[in-house]
Amino acid sequence: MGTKKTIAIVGLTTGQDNPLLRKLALNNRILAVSSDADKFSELSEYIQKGADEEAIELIDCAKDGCWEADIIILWNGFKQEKNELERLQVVATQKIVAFLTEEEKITSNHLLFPHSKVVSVFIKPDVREVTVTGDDQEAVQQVINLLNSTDYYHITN
Amino acid sequence: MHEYLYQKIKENISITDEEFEFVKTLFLPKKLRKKHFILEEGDICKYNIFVEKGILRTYKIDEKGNEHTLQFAFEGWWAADLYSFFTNEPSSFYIEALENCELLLISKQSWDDLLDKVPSFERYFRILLQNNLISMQRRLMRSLSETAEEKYLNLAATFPDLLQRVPQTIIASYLGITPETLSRIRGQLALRR
Repeated sequence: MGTKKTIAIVGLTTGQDNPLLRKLALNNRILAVSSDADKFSELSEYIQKGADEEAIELIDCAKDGCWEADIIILWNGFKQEKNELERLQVVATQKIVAFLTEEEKITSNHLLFPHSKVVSVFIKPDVREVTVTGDDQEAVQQVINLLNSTDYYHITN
Repeated sequence: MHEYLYQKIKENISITDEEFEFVKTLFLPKKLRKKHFILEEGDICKYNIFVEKGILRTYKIDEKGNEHTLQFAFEGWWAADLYSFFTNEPSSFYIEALENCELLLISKQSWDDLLDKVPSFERYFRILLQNNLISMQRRLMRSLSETAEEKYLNLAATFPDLLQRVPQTIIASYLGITPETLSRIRGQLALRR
């Protein structure tokens, strides 16, 4: 037995089916942050099949979602204004903040969240491979464990 | 977000604004909804928890399925399974939100870091643990020596707010009596007024 983790996912921009999201929702409580409720209501409905009723919840406030979360996932292409970023930084202190991206490049993501445990996750969706990196090895391992639990991606670290 | 923490710290020790800014970087801010758990039996208690807003309840479930409430934590109070927190052994407790809560969590590593970098916190946590020990001692003696009615009246006098914010069934489990007994006591007290 273990308390279910709450994962806030920020930056989803499409209502298309997302296998990783669906699998994360099976074992965790997901807060999907979007101001576009129409796009995500379809996704939520799809994910609810086979998952707990409360497995995924759509909310429109990124700060509240990240405040409630144990782990924060900033989805591919996440871009925020400086003021919004500062609001998220305050509620992300000491939390794992995982940047999920399909573009492998050297980033300074850790500078955006100086008091968080920043992890970079580079995904190759076509071959379902991921590479997980970060300065905090415990945080890196937690993210690897999270991705492994979905049984969807092959971790290439 | 850190108002109560600042207030409680300043009640016991002196720290500079710079030191408090450092302190803030060590605490994980977490909103917890009513009836959600921050700790469940079998988990390792990874955090010591400070309550900025709301109420937490620490309790255990016995083999017969009965709940036994160990303590509550209101605004400005701390909650944790200290045995699990310090030994890294699985907890036998549940810590649940009785209202929507805003919490500040500090891990063992951050706790050690804090004591190392801001030595005055040794005094703060010593006072905290000291008060906790005294409180537990008094609760134990009351549990052994007082009648159910006396326990209820002492609780009402010490924490009047608690009776308004916590369900009667949970108050009964804290006092170690059945809800029916509590209801009878309250009825009798009401008649005497």
